[in-house]
Amino acid sequence: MFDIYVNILAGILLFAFIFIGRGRQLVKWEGFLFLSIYLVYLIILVS
Amino acid sequence: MISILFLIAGFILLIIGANKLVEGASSLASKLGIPDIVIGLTVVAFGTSAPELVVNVMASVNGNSDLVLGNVLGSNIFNVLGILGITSMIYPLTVKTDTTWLEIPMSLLAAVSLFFLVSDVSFDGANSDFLSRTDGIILLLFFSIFLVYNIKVSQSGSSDETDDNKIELTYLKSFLYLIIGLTGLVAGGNLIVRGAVDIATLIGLSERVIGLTIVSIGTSLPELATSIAAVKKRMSILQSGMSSVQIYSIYFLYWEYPLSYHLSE
Repeated sequence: MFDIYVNILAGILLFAFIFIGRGRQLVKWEGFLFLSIYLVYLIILVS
Repeated sequence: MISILFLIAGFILLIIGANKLVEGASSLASKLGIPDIVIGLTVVAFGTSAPELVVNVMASVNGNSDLVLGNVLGSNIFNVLGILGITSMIYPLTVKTDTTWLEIPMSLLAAVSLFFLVSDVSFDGANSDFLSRTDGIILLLFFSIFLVYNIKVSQSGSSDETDDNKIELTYLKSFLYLIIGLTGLVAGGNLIVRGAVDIATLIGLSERVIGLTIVSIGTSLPELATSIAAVKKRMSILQSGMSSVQIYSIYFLYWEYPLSYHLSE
């Protein structure tokens, strides 16, 4: 179930991030945050 | 060592197979007079999901249900957090109104509906969480709605897809590409499943984790490559591509696994 929660969280973050910052854009820091969350998720998975 | 080779060879065959299948099918559809927009939204969109689909079918047939589940969820998570993360770091991604208010909510709905459908322990008092055939049919119905939506969008002309997807080949070459593509997909899918299961056994990780990591990233490489290429051309990959991929994955890939399988071990 953990993976399903992460999947839902990713969708919510994507939706929320569109409205944060300038215009309806995903900018670099948001991309960096996405990637960081993904890496943390991978670490949790394999540890 | 041989398992890693199987895995790498599988990914290469899978990616080449998906490309050839899309080229062959697109050309054939074009020759048969099917509109470009329909080709883009069906053949090409299915084609980019073909690696996940084939690996899941192979894994299902072999009874590796955890690998299927891991691959579908892992691909979706990688699509959003990994691919969108990488591409928006390269260049800011502009999101269209339809994508914001329809496609992303639909992909979110897909994830939430999956949660409710598999939560049999919490909602039905079952012994374990699983996705039944009925759940699969419900997901497929959602998927049909999404397909209808895609067709409506294409008819209204608000999608910018497909102009680049038109490929002209002779009939013979189209069929040849189709055969090469399908063969590559099936052979690649088999090798990946075999390699992934061997690696999981060897290093003591579960099939689920292997599916969520190595296999999902590997089968999502075509999307990553396409997205990076698109963002380099300053195209908005979010306008349809990513959310479509995610919805295709959840609705369609779950359905094609015909038997119920257990989430909790």
